[in-house]
Amino acid sequence: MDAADERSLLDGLKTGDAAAFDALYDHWRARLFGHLVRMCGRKDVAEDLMQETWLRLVRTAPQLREGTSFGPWLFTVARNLLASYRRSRLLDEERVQELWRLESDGTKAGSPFADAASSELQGHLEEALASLPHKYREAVLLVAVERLSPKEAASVCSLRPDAFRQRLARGRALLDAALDRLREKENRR
Amino acid sequence: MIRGDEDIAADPLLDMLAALPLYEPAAERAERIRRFSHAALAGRCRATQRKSAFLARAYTAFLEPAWVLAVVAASLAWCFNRVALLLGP
Repeated sequence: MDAADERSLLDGLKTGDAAAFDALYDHWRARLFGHLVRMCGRKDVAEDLMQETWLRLVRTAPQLREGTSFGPWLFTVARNLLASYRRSRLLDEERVQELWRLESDGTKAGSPFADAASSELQGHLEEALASLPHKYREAVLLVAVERLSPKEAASVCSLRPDAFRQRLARGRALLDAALDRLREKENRR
Repeated sequence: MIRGDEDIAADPLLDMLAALPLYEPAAERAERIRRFSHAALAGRCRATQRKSAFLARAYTAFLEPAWVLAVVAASLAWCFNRVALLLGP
């Protein structure tokens, strides 16, 4: 979807065009949901947050400024909702990593990643991502998985671009180290 | 150090992440979100239309030339009457 398409869909949304909503929803739904699942580690919570994000879009569409870039806007809203959720429910990093401890015990069912992580490498990547601290996981996901530009991702995280790039580089290094640890563990078996 | 888009594209680790699978919410949940959003969209538009209709009626009612003339004439008559009373016989 190019910028012109996006602009015309946002204009449509402002006038209550359901087809414009559908086009945006179909285009962004999986990316947003995947991001939320990987950030909070729970499919049910991700679904609730996703619903609230889209409803917020519908409610605030008339106030969207000209030239708003839709992707970063959507991820910013989702990020704020996730932050509120974490504050209210005290979701901590432990719970996200718990999913992978369960899997390594051989009980694969229940992990939201299990079905889709078909290859061993993908499984390792998902596990390594889940082990990253929240802010580094967010930076890596926004750029590498959701394919936002570093500038857009920086705006989602309310950071200056250079500060964001540092965070991304640190996240990447932590991810690399986590993958090495997983490979070593695999080799010892 | 990652400086820009080209560093990300050239990074094999970040590139591998791009190949991770997309996740979809349960089909019925995705459909429910769509329905909720459509309903919210329609509700908002009806509210906007109601507001617009009210403003249109108000505009027509208050700026109708006959009304304006009547109000202006009544105001002038009232003013002349007050002035006449103040000046006395």
